[in-house]
Amino acid sequence: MGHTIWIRANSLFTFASTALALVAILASITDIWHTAEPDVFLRVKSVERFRPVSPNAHRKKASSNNNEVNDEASLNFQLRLDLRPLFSWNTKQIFVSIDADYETERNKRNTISLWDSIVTQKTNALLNYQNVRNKYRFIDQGTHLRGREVNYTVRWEVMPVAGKLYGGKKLVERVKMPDEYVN
Amino acid sequence: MVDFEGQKFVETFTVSVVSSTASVGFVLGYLLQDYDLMRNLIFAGIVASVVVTLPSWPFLKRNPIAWREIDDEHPSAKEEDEIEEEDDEEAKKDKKENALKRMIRRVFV
Repeated sequence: MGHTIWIRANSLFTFASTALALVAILASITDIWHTAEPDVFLRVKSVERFRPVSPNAHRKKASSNNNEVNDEASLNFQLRLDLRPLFSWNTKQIFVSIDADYETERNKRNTISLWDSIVTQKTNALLNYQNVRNKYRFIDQGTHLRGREVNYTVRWEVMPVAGKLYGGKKLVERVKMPDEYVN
Repeated sequence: MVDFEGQKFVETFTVSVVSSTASVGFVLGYLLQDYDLMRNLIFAGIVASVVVTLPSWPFLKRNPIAWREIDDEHPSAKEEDEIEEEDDEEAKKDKKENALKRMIRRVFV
């Protein structure tokens, strides 16, 4: 330590930031043995609307190079996500999303994010909804959705205060789309 | 100017307060699963150290160094007088350089 305020300030803040860094590292280490699975329930209650849409429908002039028609579905879910076990003392927020995964002749792998949410507090971490509509549009590339088996996956990403991100996923439902369009 | 005893106190105080709040905060925070508690405890320790050790409080100056009286008869004092008597340009340059060195020494040593 020094005889001037600047040397004292320098060594104090250096030591303090070292201590803070050390504590942050230790806190991120405690997350290693915090392993938890959320309680996940998801059910596709109904397909409210299911029809082919043209991406150029809103344009006055039809584009010559893209007159393709794509299937779009509007879904209604029942959702119960208990994310409370995921929270540890070192958790800042949790991101959850519902993804639809399916395979078509055109694409080997399709993944569409239908709904998501950010939970920042443990007291708000029990999500229980009777009716959830997809937040983001469920549009196929082409018209392959009729009668298609679609897998619904819940994914979560945990963002800690200090340390690395980690997450997981759980396949919750495997539902066949209706064979005919629904208005 | 904070004396050597004061500097020793500052060092001991800062290290013990910050490291004890950090370790107590870590254990308490982990047991109570409360990250904010840990962070606030450490910040409280840092603020306490800032308040106690940064200003040159009078209690840090209670043991000033007893410097020797200036001895005019000492050979080094005479030498300095002689240099002052010389009115060369070079001597002036030397003096300026010495002043610069003294300033640097004051800042870094």
